[in-house]
Amino acid sequence: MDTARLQPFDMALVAAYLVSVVALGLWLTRGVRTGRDYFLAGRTLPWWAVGMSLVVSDIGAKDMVGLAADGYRYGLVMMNFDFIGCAFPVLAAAFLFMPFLWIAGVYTVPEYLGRRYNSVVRTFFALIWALFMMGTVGTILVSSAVMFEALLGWSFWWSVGITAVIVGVFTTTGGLKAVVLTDALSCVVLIVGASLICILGLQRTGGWEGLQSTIGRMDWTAHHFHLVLPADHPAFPWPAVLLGLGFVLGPAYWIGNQAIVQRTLGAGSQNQARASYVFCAVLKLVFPVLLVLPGLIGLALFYDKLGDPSQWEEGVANRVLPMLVVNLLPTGVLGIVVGAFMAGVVANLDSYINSASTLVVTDLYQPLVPRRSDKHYLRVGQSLVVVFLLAGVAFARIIQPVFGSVFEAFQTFMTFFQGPLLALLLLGMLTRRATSHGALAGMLLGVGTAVALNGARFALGREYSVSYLWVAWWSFAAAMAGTVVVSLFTRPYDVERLRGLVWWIPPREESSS
Amino acid sequence: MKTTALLLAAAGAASGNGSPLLGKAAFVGVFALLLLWLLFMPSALIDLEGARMPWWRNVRFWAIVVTIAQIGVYCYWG
Repeated sequence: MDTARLQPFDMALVAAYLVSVVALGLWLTRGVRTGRDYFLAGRTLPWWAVGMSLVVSDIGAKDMVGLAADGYRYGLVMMNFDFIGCAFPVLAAAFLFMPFLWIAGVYTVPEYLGRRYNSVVRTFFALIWALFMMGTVGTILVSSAVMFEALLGWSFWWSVGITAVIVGVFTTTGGLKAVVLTDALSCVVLIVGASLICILGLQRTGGWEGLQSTIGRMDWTAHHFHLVLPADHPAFPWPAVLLGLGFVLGPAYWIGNQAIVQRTLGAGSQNQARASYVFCAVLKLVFPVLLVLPGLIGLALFYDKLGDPSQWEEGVANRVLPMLVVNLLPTGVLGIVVGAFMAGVVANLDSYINSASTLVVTDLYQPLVPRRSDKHYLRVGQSLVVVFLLAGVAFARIIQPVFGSVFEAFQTFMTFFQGPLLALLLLGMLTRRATSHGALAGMLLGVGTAVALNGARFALGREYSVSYLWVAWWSFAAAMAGTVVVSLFTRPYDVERLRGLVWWIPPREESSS
Repeated sequence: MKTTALLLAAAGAASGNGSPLLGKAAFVGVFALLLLWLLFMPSALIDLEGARMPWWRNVRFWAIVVTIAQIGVYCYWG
């Protein structure tokens, strides 16, 4: 196993980053007095910080390691996750969907669904997201521990402990403002670190031309320099990428994910929220290059050591990026890159914990325990951050031995709900005809379709397994169809009830002005 | 649903000869439609304060830049 040895100068750089993040986070805890301060940063966040936070909430350390491995295995096609799967839905969200949530003055996406449809839909999606987020905290901790072990030879508990303490210190007291502004710092460190890997790697491969010619000589890399692969490609056929990723998973993530939406709701104004989304799209032009290119560089430089990915045993994929880091980076640069990894972990983790706390307080706790003081909900939110961190650490320990299958199970679990969630959001925001009965029917039909498609391989055999991109698309289509059909047979809502919740029916103040 | 059927039929046709040319056109087409929408979207939907922004502070301008860049990326590397 290749592990890097940090020199004193590297350690000083890593320590400087960690101290800066904690100090900034603690400084920003001043002025948190109400639930609105804590959950939505008092709606004072600047667009540039929200934009950077959006990027690093999406890209964690596990993505850095995972995308390098997939870049090695599949090539440029992995960039689609940040191009068609991000730029397109982010811009659509900025100009079409975000204004609704902003004007509605909600804290969470399920809260919007509750107002638009009913409390059953709200509670259902709140529970699903809360479960997913709590599980995600555990998987982030395990994946960062795996990475630090591969990279630095750190033990599991040392990695988990240091990550949980750093994140817990400022997230518990500082809320969204501390999370977003420390994310902005982490984003800068991440960009610098990832850029250094790419620049030094390209120098070693003889530039872009050298990289292309080295990889082009291999007999299994015919599609490595194409974003759009043939429709019969086993992993990423273009129709599934376009429909499943571009039209369902991407929009569901950027429009319906609480960890994403909450940041834009904390912006200083609606224009600032829109600007933050657009800034995120600008940054996302660069990030796929920074994350996928190391995989191609690893393929060109270390194919003799890492070999053909079709023959990889478990764990080999995690070695692509550490191998580059250990073999390419000189003292000083190594410290910056390790700092970048930590930035990815911290930013990813604090985002999910903060959003999970907001979601549970707003959509599950408040409806059960109403009419308490704002201070009470603030304290519950802060306590939940600690609970989620401790639960995440415990969960990380439990799933560590079977991490690969648990991570996959979580991803599969989410594909059951992403399509139906997007269908309900789109129909709710864009049509006044969608009703709560329609929503419940669409939700059941969409989730049922996802379960059936995912279960096909268990019931009928492996040759009937369906790509998760197709599962997302067909569950979305089924949920749309179910909601539309049942809504047409049920009584529509009164226009006044939908004011400010549907695109064509603005709130009263705006309609009169 | 009709659009879906057309897209899936197109996908099937493309898989027949293994060429992703149609796919490339589809990806570029999505961003081209987004570009048209950004260009012709009423200003009232964006400039809520009604103030004229310099180009470097105009979110519509930057959204158009991103969309054109994506069209270029898919044309070149598609």
